[in-house]
Amino acid sequence: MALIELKGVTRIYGEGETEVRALDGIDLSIERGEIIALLGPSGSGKTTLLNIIAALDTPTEGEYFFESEEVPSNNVESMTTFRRENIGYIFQFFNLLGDLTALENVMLVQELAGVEDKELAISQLKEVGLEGLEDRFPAQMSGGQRQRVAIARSLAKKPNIILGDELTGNLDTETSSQVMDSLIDTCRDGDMTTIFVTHDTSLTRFATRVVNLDSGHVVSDEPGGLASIAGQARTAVKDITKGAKNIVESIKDAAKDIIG
Amino acid sequence: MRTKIRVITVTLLITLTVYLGVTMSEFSRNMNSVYDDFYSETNLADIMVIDEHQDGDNFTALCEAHSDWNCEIRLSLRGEANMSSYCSARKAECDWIQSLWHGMTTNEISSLHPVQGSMEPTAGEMVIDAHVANSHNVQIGDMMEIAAGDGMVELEVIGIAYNPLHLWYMPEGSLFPDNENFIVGYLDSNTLAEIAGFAPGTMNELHIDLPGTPDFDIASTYDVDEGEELNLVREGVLSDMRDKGMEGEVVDRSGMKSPEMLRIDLEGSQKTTPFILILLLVISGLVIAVSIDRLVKSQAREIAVLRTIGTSGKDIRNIYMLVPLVLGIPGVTLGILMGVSPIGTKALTEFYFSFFDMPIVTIHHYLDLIFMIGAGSLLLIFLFGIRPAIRASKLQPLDVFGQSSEKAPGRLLTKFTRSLSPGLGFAMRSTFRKPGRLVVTLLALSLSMVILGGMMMMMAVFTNVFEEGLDEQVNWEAQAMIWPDNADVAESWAQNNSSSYEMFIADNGNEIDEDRIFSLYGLDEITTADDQMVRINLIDGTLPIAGNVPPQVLIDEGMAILLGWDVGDVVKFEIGASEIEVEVTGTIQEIERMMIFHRTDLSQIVDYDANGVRMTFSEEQSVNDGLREVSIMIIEKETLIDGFNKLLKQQAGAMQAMYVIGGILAITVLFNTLLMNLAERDTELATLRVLGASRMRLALILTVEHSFIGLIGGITGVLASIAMMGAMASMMTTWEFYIPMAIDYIVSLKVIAFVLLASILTTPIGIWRIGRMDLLEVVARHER
Repeated sequence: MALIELKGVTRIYGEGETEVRALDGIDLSIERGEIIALLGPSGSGKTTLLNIIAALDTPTEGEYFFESEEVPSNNVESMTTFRRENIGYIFQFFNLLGDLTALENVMLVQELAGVEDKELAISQLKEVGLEGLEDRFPAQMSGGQRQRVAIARSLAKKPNIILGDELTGNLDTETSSQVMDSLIDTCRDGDMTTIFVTHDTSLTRFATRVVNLDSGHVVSDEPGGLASIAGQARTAVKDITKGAKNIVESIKDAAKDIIG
Repeated sequence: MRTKIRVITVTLLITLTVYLGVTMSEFSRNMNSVYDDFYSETNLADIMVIDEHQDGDNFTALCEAHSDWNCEIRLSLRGEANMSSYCSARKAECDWIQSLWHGMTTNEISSLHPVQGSMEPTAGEMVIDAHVANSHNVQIGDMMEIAAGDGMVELEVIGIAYNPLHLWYMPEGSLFPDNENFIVGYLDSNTLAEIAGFAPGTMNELHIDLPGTPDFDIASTYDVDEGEELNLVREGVLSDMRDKGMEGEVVDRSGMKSPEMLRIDLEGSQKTTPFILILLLVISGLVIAVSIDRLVKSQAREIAVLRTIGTSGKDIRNIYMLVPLVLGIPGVTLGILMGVSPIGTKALTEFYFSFFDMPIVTIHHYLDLIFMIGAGSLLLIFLFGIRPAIRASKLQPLDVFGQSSEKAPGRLLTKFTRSLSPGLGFAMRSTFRKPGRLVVTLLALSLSMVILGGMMMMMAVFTNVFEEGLDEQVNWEAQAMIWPDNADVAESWAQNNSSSYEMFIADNGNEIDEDRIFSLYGLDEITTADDQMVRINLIDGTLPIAGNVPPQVLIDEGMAILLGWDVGDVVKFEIGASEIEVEVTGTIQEIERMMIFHRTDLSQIVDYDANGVRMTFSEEQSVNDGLREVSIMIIEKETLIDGFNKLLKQQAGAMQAMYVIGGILAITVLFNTLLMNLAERDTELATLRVLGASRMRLALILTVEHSFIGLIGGITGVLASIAMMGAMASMMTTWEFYIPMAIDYIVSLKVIAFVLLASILTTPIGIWRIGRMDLLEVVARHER
């Protein structure tokens, strides 16, 4: 049984001349424990898909099932409850609460879920490499450290699904890798399903599955990890070769024209 | 949406401020012109000589040497009127009513202001004061039975008039207007003398009209003598009187009760109007400053972009300096329009004059006042906008784009909230996140509570003091004032017709060489116990002992403060022409300025045993004609309390209007603050929603925050109200009307509860906003 099942999900914004089909009949099935990277150019529908999975947004058409149960889409409080019980969300700009320490940020999520476990919160901060920084406020931390707090916060209530929107988009390459390592390790250990949106193709190495979107459609759905990197490298080489061939053909044509 | 609400809030505040400013200022000036016109038209005396009744020639002799003076002699007697015949014709129940009869002669000084009928009563006729005519529906041709001196007669009402000595229409022994329980009538002086059993030509007053209108010394300004010239005249008259063996007193307009009460009232209004206006403007200014500050923050990115592309700081500053004016001009214009509309100056002036039943209502609009208030308001609003504008001009693009403004909460706050749950800690810390703004908000809130809280406290103190003075301390049911010669007869009547009685002395004294008059009472029992006719409310010191030399006395708190007399002091004052020395043993809380002696001590000074009797009655006993025949005036406790309660009831409308204005101000300031609070925290609240916080949870967080703001606001509101009450008490305290400074804890709790409740009640608006919040849009806005 799939953990997440999307059937013909369509999301339309605006109407008439301003109508935009952000998602157009998406069918997607995701199993527990999968780590999925959502790729695609700007406006392809990645964030919209992530928001629908997070129950932050609702499909205009189609159905969204979680553990075979339809996810509520017409009641704001039911959607909130669904998020509280199942979703851990990581923002690109961290969105930590500046008045709370790292530990309090993590514990606040526990409090919202009705599970207060300080030891667990401390161990989660430790897992993401923030041991000893529990009492620091976001303003006293670097970008990478803040994002680790955001990750620890998303894991705090042991959710079924972790969602991240450009979660390393605001970090340098080295910090990105460290943050992703922390996240993926913890998710694997907890058998959590992870879905993250990214522009950075190098991050697909952390994914078990890479879903490419374009104009609201799934254009490819491939295995992730190193295979994915190799596949993308092959595609790149093919593109370069094809480009080079085109250049050679162009030069040939030009030479013919000159020689007569 | 929120920006629109903030603009409306700020405009509303400015409108309200200017509206009240125009209304109250024009009202004060209108009042001033009414009194000036009325006194000029009725030729109110500059000086009055009051003495025992005697041949009128003794009084006119005082004017002989002054050809430029205009003088009029009069006989004024206290008495009673029975309106039973008049009442039975109207199927109403009436009783004897405390009265004052003026025996007029020429009617040229302190003259009658005719309303209807003739102003020249002859034998068997009288003119009735318009206050009585209006409240009892007395008409020309009605008959009225009056008692004066030893006589009782029935007179026909031939005219209705106002008089400058009774424009503030209060019974003797009271400071409050009471049209129903006090009758003033104007008779021919010989008619009155005949009724009272005096010889024709008997007089007891001389009214003197001096050339021009010389200033008189105001009793409440102790160190300044406003009427030096008039005082010389007074002293001259007094000296002439003493030479002729006359022991009476000479008073200027400050000693005439009604003109003095109106002057005090007008002065109070003139003093409080600028105070309230400035207060309102400061509140508006603070709210504008905070709002523009918020506007600058919300537009920080746009400002940073403008700065990046080369816009100078000066240009940015100039743009933001225009914002207060853009908000101010419509608010000021609307406020002025409301002020000059029928709900402004006209409504307040008409309400006031109809409340006191005053004859002339002059309603003018004064361009100079309107301009001063409008321009002054704009200037102040503009000044409050300068600081945020300068801050906007100093914003640096890198600071904005780099989001370097984020700060960790203070150590102390963190320490105090560390043990709380993260949710509660978050609510607490975010409340104190911007201490500067919190302080400004609390300041604005406190100031806005000043009007509501200050008025409530004033009313509470006022009511408590008078309830205590008129009811709690008083155990007698009726008090009869008698001629000293009739003391034995009155005592005999009291022995036979009351369940208990006490003879007493009531007389007047004054500060040496000053015209501050106070009451002297001689009592048989001076006690703090509640089993005597009067319970003494001792504030400081001890009760006096009889037979001491110099005599020991108690003085009221107001007198002690205003004259600078302390417990233990031996002080001197005058009774008529005699200088008396007494020792002050204690101070008491009382409504009027008074000194209390043991009767045996005072009787030796005034040379009579008693001129009053206080009584309690059993169910079948009451005051009857037997007592009335030997009394000058009878006051019943129930009537005094009724009068006071009626006044409170009448004032309720005006007070409620002030409460509503104060309440609106407080809620507006609070509402504006909380809206900004919400606006600044969109991203946080949206984040919490994304993380799964239910609306109930956020409601709880907001409720905790708002409760904190409400609680602190309430406490600062109480402190500000107490300060306001103190300021008002000291501003409005006069010789006649001393307002003690007292904190009413019930009112304090009410003020805190009001702010707390108002604060908590704004939470649903926040929750409603959160419910409507587009999480994607809010989070995306932050990320952009």
